[in-house]
Amino acid sequence: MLILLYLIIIGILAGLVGSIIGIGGGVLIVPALTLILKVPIKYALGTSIICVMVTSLSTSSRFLRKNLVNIPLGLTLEIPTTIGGIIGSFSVAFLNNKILFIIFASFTAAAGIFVYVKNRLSLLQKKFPVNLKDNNSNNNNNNNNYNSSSNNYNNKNNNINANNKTGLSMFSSKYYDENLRNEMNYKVGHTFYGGIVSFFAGIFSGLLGIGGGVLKVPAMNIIMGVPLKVATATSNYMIGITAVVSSIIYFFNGYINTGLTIPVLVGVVGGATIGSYLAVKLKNIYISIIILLIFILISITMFLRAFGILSY
Amino acid sequence: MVKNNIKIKTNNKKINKNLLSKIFFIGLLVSLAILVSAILLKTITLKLNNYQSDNTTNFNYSYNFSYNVTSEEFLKENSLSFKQLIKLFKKFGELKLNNNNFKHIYYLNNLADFLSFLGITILILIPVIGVFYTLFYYLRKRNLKITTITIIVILLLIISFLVGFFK
Repeated sequence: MLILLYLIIIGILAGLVGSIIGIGGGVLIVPALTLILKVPIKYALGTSIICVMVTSLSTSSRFLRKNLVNIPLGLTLEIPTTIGGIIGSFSVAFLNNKILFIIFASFTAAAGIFVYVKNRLSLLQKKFPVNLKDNNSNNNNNNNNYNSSSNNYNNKNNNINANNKTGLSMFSSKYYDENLRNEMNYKVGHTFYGGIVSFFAGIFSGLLGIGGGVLKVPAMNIIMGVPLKVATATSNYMIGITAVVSSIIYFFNGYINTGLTIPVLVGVVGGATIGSYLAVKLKNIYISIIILLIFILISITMFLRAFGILSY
Repeated sequence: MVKNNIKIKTNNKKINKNLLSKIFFIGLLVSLAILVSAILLKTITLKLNNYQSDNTTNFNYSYNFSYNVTSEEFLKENSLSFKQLIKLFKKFGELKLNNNNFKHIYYLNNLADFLSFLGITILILIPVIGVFYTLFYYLRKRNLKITTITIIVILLLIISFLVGFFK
């Protein structure tokens, strides 16, 4: 019975930390299961991918209600992601544990840096919201207003509409920004490059049992010009579909163990619920530094485990 | 020129995202409820077995909380797989022949396995239902581009199923 308790605690911690720092928690579940409970990595990956799917569905449900998900964009990027997901999860059966540990360790280090940078960026956005404000989003404005503000338009909205000239209207949409209390329009560009990054995100998702938001969110935000909130919401929606692909292949390979998965899953749901309340109060630069250190520590431990320096 | 830049045609504003959100939320609740029931049932099965047997029975459990999670062999035997699903249905068939005192434990154990499969299957199906909902929505709206994209995603999901099945 003690093992059941450990699994639930791991789930709670992963859900808690994951929701505070804004990631699925897959990056934390695999090291916790492999390093603390010494679970074989392939079964830890199977457990993780199911937990990632649950986290994704839960957060997507919230983001869909807030109209933050860009479904056409998500489905388009899902094509290369799914192909990557099939390749990644299919490869798991052929890779030995050492290689999986090395890939995971590298990815954890990268994820730590991403979380740190993301938190720094969101802090900067809160400090200087004027840079992100889209003054042309109000649909009630008439054409004269548009013309009079046209000179300021290009200067003020470089961040969101950086790709206006190459932007595709098919993916263009709008959302309501609660912080700015304004309806924001945005255009999406460079879908091809976003698709390439999504393909690699899919490979990592299938291979490492993670969501892949660490790659997708910066790709959508920086390359494609999608606002950070929409990028995060759309990425979450996509993760659910990618996780389906991976979990089907993990299922057929026999890497999903209910004895491991269900307790961790219950913990993750509970932890994520608590974390979503704590996130508002705790989110600051010190937290991101601590998280960065934790991720680097996990990464080093997994590297040591991969090379047999740290053995149990 | 400026007007073209500003007037943005949106495609996804009309989709009933609240309904999609409800599908995700309710599906998640149902699957979690089933999975939690499965694990509780397993616990009850274990307790009943410990109570009724004095370790002399040859009744073989497929699940035990005190198992060694480090053993790859053990995890492989007890993981969800297509072979185990077939084995599970065979177990239900064998139930008719099983008339010993452990019949109800045997039944509960199989039921817990079945619930685990059901819970995971529902969980996997929720995003798929979401994709189909999007397909029917855009098909009705005759938006050919997004319909085609959605069909490709569905085809890829089918391919992943086939890849896993025939591997």
